Amino acid sequence: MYAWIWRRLPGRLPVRVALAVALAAGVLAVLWFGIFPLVDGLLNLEDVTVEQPPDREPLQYAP
Amino acid sequence: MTTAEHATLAKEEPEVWEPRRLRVARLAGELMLTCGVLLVLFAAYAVYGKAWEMDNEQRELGAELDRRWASGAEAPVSGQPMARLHIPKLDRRWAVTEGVTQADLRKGPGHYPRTARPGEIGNVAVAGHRISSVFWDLDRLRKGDAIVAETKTGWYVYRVVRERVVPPTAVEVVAPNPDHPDDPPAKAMLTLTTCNPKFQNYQRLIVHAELVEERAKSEGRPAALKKGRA
Amino acid sequence: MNGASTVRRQRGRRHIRWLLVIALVQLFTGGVATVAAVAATSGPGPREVTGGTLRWSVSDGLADEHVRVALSGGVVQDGTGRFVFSMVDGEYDTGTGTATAKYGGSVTIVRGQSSLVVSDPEIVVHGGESTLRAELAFSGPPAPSDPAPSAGLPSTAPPTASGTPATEPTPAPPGATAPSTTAVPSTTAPPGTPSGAPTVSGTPSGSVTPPLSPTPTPQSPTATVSGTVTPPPVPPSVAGPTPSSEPSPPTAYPTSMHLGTTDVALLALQQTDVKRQQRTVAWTGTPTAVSRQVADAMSGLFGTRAPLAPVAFSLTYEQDALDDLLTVIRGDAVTPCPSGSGTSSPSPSPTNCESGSPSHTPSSSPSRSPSTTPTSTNSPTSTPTSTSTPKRSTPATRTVFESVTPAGGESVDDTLPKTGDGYVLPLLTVGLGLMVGGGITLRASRRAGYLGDDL
Repeated sequence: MYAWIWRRLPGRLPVRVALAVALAAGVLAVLWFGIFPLVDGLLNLEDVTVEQPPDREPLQYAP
Repeated sequence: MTTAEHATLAKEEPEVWEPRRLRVARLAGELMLTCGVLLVLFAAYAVYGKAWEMDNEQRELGAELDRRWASGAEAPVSGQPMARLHIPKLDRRWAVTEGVTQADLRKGPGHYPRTARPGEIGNVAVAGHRISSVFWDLDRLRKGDAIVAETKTGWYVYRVVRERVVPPTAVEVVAPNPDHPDDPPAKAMLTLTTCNPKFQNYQRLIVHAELVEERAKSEGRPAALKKGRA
Repeated sequence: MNGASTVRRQRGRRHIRWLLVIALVQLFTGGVATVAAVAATSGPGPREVTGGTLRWSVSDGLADEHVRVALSGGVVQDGTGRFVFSMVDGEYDTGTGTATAKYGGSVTIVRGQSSLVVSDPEIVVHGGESTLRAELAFSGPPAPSDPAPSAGLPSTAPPTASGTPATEPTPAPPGATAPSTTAVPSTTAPPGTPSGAPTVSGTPSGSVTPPLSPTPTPQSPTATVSGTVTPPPVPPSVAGPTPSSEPSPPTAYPTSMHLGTTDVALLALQQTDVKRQQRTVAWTGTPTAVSRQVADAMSGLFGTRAPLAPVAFSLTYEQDALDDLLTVIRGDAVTPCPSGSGTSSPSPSPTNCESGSPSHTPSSSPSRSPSTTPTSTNSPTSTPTSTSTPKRSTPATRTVFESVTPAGGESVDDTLPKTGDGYVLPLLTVGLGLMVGGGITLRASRRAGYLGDDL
């Protein structure tokens, strides 16, 4: 896979290295700012906290 | 076939004679490596990326809080900042959001809805992530350390009275009277909750503090805050 | 010949490679740009709500036969005894995730010598959480030791009024209304002007004199009580309860206070009901926490801490605006307030995002009502058990919400919020393991590849 990409990068060695770095940075940016927050949101979906509104009759004052 | 053409081919497909199973093995290796890097990156994001996001959110929240105070709004609104919290010993301060959903906690510490507000008799309960930009060092607090809540009208200095580690189901720690959950509140308390141990979430670290000093904004910052900048 | 074609082919291949690279780069920049654009999306500005009603009965204690009720400002009572307020102003904003609905009119509730005036209720919804606010004026009973002049009271239930549910405000005969109507004019004062607010007289003798304005004022802010005294049908025998016959309220409760526009309760919204033909959406809000001031007022009124009844309210929406409105009220679109929103709303009803309640803080300040006992303003100090605060130099006024359920521990659900990512360590372990494993596999395959090459 990586060898395949490397072979398809044009230019000479410095150009290829620069392109590869740019590609890696792009992938990283998309992951960091796009995918990871999304995944993190999905991972935290199921958790139960005290935030949930109580459903038993909450009408009584404290005595 | 000319030598030039042969050279091109050789350059482009150096492993053209690689046996199939070896190619599969190489692909598997690369995939494993990729997945491993992804997972490590995600772990790094959970630690550093979220902290960085939270710092940004805190900057905005702080400005928003000042704006709300300047405009006179006082009633807490879910998802909006409601107070500022200072811990001089840790040299930290945060704008506290109203609410403890994951979305709220993403912005910084969150105030449990329907618990007291700073200065009131009852229990000001605040939750925060155990990450570097929030309650990472909460275990460094000791009895007597100051926790200062700042509202639009005043400063409220609380002193730590107790630290404990509880299971996540111990919701009585945010009850109005955390010492005697069935009794009505008698003291003005403040409770911080965060996850314990670090990087885990199967326990909660709880810090209880009691109100010891209350002063109006016009009287200046309390002595507990004067040393540090926080 | 061959050489030339090879060169041409190579050039072509190089061309394709460059295209590929450009496409990839574009793909990534496009992706990043899309993510940024989605992140920066902000909703549209505030939109008007054209109509709606609010049904609320203040308390279940209203079923008490000692209680009499006067309506004004277009408020009517429905079959179940709930008051129906009509909308005067409302807006919602998907950008801030806030909806404000203001309803007009006022209700005076009289029980014995106590009275409570509730006017201009208002609901502020933000992110599924909402607050019920209203203008409140309370006039309390005399101190239990005080022999209260109750002479005026038995005559206050005129036979004309009993039995007929008053649906339209009519001028009431003098003396038909609450002893506390002196408290009412103070609700008309703009809460920000300290001088203009006549204060509620707390002494029993002062509160019995009813300077009634005989003109029914249709517009609600002038909460002059001119509506008909409506039953609960009052048997003449119990129409004038003597103070001794009532449960005497604890002395800690305030005798009178004018709270101005104040937060009454936090509501948990339920039961979204959409009527598409009438373009209305309706909700029920169950009080989950009640302002302590209101709780005190209710205690003074009913003697016990009567429960606060649920609130049903509805909004009429414009065409095609249903989804936006639902998004706001269900709290799906909780976005931080845009920083420039302070100037974007020309409406007199600011959303909570920007300035919130201009009238809230000053109206509940203690200077407004000198006759008020300390209990009504600063609840922490009013609590008999508040002893633990050495320095109390700030008489800052706050609306105090107290948890509706006594202990709090059982009422709040399940667990403390998760404040740590439990997956960090496992992920790190698995990730590192995969990296090592992948490296070993690669190395093995490469060595084997060389082996194959040699063969």
